[in-house]
Amino acid sequence: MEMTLALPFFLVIIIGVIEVADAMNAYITVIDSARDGARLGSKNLATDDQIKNLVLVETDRLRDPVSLSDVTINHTTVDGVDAIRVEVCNDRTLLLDIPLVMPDTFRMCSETTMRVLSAGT
Amino acid sequence: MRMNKRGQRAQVLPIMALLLIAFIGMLGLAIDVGRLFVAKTEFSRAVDAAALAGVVELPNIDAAQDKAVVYLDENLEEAVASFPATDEDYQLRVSATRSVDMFFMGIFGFDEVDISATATAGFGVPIDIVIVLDDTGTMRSGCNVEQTNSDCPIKQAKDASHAFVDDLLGDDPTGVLQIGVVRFRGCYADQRYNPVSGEDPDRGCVLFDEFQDLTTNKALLHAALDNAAGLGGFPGTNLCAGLDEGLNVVTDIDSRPNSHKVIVILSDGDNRYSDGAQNSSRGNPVPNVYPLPNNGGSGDCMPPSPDQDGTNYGNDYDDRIDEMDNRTYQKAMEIRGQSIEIYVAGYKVSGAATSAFCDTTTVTNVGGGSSRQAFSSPDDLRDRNLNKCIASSTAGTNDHHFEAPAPEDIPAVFDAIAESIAFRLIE
Repeated sequence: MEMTLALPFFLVIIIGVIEVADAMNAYITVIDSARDGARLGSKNLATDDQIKNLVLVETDRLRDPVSLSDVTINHTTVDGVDAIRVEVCNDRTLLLDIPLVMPDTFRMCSETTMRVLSAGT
Repeated sequence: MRMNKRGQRAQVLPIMALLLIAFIGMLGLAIDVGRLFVAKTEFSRAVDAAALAGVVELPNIDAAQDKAVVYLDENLEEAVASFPATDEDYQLRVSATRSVDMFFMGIFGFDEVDISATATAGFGVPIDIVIVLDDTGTMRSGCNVEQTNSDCPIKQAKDASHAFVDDLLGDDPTGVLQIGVVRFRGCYADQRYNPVSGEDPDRGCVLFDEFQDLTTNKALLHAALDNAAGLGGFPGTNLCAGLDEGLNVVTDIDSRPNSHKVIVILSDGDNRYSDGAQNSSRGNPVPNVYPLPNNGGSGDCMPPSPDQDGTNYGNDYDDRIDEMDNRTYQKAMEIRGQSIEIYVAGYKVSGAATSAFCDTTTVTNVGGGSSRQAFSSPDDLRDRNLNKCIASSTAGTNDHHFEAPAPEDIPAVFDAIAESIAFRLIE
């Protein structure tokens, strides 16, 4: 009888732990892809499309892959020098969809800003 | 029996209560350790960005640290940067710490955990660099007698190279980076050929003993650079020979087997071949002239096709030039094949700059006839293309090719190349 009461409670905790751990793992991939995209851009070697492509390749392992429109590249100026800002977002669906307990999807984003070298011509 | 059953059942709740504590502990580990991993990843990203943004400002350490602080803050607001000492002059190490609040671990007494990250940018391995300077007559054009005016190409090239040496070697060279200097015209020899009357006696081939081998000695480098005067004249322009001697210097006995090797060549991409150093009508030939094959050299950089118009120099804009371009390209590919990086500073390649990449079909076309090169504007397209093909740019980019349309632009180009060499993460 008590088991019936307690079991759902424990299940929610366990599922929660798994979801959070899975999401963090994915978030680290998102951070790394934004970093590597900015690093490629910082060398002034690549077009925006090439940078986006790198991000897509690096995030390909995610359960909900990042799409082109999730990658934003800004060429800007920080402290008087050229900089590039790469933002990668990922709309994530949950492993287990429990209605009313947690939202179906949530969006996580990471942004990296790096200084850009003068370009070759 | 009944009592016993009830007693067993009544124990579930206390057990659950105990388990709950264990579960929260697990939850804490999973979520808080996860948070730490995320924070650490974000942190090292921010510190990488800071180190890279700062290293470009070296040897100005204050500017480097300022830039690093700004870029650290741009990526991660709460972090506080410090700058631990580095092993070498031309490195910037950025270290930062911050504390991460714990949600669950607080129950066990861990309210917050300090994390830190460190990144170092600059040179990780020894680097050997040779500067290969165009020292032909083009470089003297527009100069006053003292070669001190700002639109004097050779003055700007020398100033740019002096600054390049000072910036990269720093105040107190530690030996991680060595630089050498090679100049090029049309030939190299042990002695000058006989100048015609009125010609400067220093004209003619660059002498082999005028090279500066790889060194950390800035005084030697500055002296070698000061030798360049753009005297040029008769012996033509042989980019291929310049690259070949650059290769010799950057791989000779002073180079380190584990070093990253770089050739920086200043060139207008305009090959002109002359056999004047062998020309008996001027009291020549001088012995041991390179790139001729008759001095023990391979003759790699000498065009084999016969001179079509029968003149030695000035009108030799014929099939030989096509050959020269092809041979220069082959020489560059030979050098790049040894993992030696080539940066090209194109000076005064006339005609509008284009964003086109190296076209290997043009550079290897030695067909002659109607497609032969002319010295004037159509040739310039090929000059620029040749420069782009020499540079070891990443495919689909021109990241190792820079252009200075005017003499005053040369220092900025050398500065950009120095930045590019330094702009690497070590750890």
